[in-house]
Amino acid sequence: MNDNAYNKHLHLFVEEAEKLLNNFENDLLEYEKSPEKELIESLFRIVHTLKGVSGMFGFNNISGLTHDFESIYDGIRNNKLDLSKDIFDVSFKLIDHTRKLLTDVDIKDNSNRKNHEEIKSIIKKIIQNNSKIERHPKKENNKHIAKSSDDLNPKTWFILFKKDNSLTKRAVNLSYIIQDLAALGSIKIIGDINSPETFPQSDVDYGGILLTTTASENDIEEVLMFISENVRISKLENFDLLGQEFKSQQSSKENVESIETSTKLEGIGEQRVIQEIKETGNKNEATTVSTVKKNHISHISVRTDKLDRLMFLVSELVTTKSELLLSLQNNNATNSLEAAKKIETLSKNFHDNAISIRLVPIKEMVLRFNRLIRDLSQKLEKKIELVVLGEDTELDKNVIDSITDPIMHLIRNSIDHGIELPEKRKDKGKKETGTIKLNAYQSGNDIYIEISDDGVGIDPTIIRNKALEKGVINQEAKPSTKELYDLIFLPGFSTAQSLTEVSGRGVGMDVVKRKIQGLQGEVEVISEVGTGTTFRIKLHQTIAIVETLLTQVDSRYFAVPLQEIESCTQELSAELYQDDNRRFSYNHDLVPFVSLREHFGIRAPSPVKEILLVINKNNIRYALSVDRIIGEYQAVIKPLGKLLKSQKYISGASILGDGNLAMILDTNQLITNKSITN
Amino acid sequence: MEKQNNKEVFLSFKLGNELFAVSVKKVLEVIQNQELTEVPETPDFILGVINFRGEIVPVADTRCKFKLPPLQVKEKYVIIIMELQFNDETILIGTTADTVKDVIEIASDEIKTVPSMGSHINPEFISGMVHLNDKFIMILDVDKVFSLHEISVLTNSVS
Repeated sequence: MNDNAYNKHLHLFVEEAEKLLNNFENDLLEYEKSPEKELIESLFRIVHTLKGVSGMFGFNNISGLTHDFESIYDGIRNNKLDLSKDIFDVSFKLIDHTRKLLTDVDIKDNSNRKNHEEIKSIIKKIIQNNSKIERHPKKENNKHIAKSSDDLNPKTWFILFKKDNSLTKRAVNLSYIIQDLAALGSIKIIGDINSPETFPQSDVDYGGILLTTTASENDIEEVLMFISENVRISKLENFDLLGQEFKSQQSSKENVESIETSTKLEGIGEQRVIQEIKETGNKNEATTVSTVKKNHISHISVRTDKLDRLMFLVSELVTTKSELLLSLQNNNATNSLEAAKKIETLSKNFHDNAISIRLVPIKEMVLRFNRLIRDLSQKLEKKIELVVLGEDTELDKNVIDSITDPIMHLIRNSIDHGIELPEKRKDKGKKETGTIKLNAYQSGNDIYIEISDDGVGIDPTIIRNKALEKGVINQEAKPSTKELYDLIFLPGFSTAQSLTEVSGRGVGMDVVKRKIQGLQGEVEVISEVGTGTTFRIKLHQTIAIVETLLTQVDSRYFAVPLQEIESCTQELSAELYQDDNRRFSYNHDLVPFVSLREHFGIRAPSPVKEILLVINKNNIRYALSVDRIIGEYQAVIKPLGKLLKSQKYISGASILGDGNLAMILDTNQLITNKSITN
Repeated sequence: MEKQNNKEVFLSFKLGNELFAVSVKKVLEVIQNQELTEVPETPDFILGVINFRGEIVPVADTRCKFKLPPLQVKEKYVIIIMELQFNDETILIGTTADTVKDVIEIASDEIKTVPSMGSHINPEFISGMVHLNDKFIMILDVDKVFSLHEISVLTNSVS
């Protein structure tokens, strides 16, 4: 296996593990709310799968940790143990820790190492304190005995392995599975299946294992769950066929040998995987990207109807292409044109489809909030319930990734400053349990996410006093309530009485606002004293593509988001620049303008007439002057990258059809430009 | 195996009268005659951005970085696209050179440490030196030359 192939498997594992951890966390939170037996089963299954997958991929640290953990949940499942608070806590700890281990497989980080040992000892203690739990036997097979008298007799099963590349693709280490099978009873291996390398390539299409065990079919299936599509299990006899065979042939040696080979192979396999992890680890440090992270981000699950649509479009495109080729060969201009037009429509559909594929429901993000609310409300001794509406609302994956942290911050604020302590709520005649509501919905092309709490609300007079104190406004100013609420997004403007550990430090509301603006979004506050606060975030569904007006100054291209532009007018340059005021009359009003030529220091002289694009931002108008308008343009935004991130007035670049680059202007930032505000 | 000398492959290029080399592991491509798009309000040593395989990549003026006078004939440089590592992130950056010379193999024991002489180039940027065909080649530690920290400090001071 080369490194690349290995990394592919690594990210498969990481993805799988993260999914499992998320599910586990969710079920756990669910169970805390309403303890249902089914959830315990689900929790056990998840831990079991996690143990299995991590072991199979050679993540011995994770599988080692989850091994004993599984015993705990097995105990709970069999009513030998209660899901106590201790177990809850260690479960959450384990989730967090395992997430960290996914990027630190060898536990190089010191704090991770410390956590690892701590969690291990907690788990051990829980097991020791509950002598009723048996440690999950790995090599003994007595566990499954005595289920019912019928099960007592050993039966012989035949497990057929199908030759398949997907096994190596998924880096399935068969030797682990064989080892698990051997733990159930005695096995005999037929054919060359125990080496993951040679098995798929070997000439034998099938291999098989004869297994004599007292375990039930379910137990066998459980062992084989990861390769279920590659195996077929069938019962051969209701007695110990292997034993008889051995007795008659006197050749139990063979059996011993094959098990020995498999154990040996396991050793080799393990070493190899460890070696590979080490190598990749080293390589990551030296040159390449941290593949785990990058690969993970680049994967999303897509609804199949979207993919069906894609397939449909592809077939349409292929047909139209042949149509076009044919009519071109026949020099049939009319038909060619028609086909070309069809392709144009198709490409638009492709674009819509591509965008829809990028859209994912916000559900994923909500999982994290559940956890945050649980942990925080416990810490602050508040009772809080999260209500989520519209969790199927879809947003661009990138948007979701960047909006999660700001929303976390808003929720944290609501928990800390919004929702009151239970006694206080009681005194006020409210329900003891506070509610945080997350409501997501679509309106036109925009997505709204509202985070509301039924807490104390924000008192505008407090903001006003604070603003006066800080000199943000003066005594005479009569800002509207909405304007006052907007002030809380100013840097360093905190109305909280005291800084608590939970919020009031680190990122503030100004960062929240900046992040949302960075996504071309907006945020507003609606609040009523005594009844609660709502933050309403407005976002574009996707940020990858923006409708813009493409303009030019000298030879340089600038694209301005179309929805910001109110109108365009033309003015004589001589008149525009006759004084230094940089204002022009528009609709009986003097509107300030920014000359992109001056602003960006383009030396070429002005043309006789310049075009002014009037921008309307919340009824504040200003204009941008350019040389000429090229036309409407769907800009695919590419980031300028880390190196140029402090570049203020440009939100990205777009590659034009001819390979030239156009700068996409950030109209939010240009408005704060001095020449306008003065 | 490990006792043997590890040879590494370098790309050498010329800036003024001096020869430099960078590890080919860092180099993605060498481009000539590509038109740059200037980006307003960037530090002096950022010449602009280019479209490299559909990604927007900034191009840094290496001469400016090494305090060498700018080239007489502008736009006669080549752009070396490099992949730099900052923490967990990979960043593409184009760097200019007068000409690209050779791809050379250098054994690790041929690389000498740099005397901290009164060079105009910050000795931190140089990870070693090689004497080859009567010429000295300075091996650049590109991650340091274009360290994000330095660049962001510069960008901040501009804006």
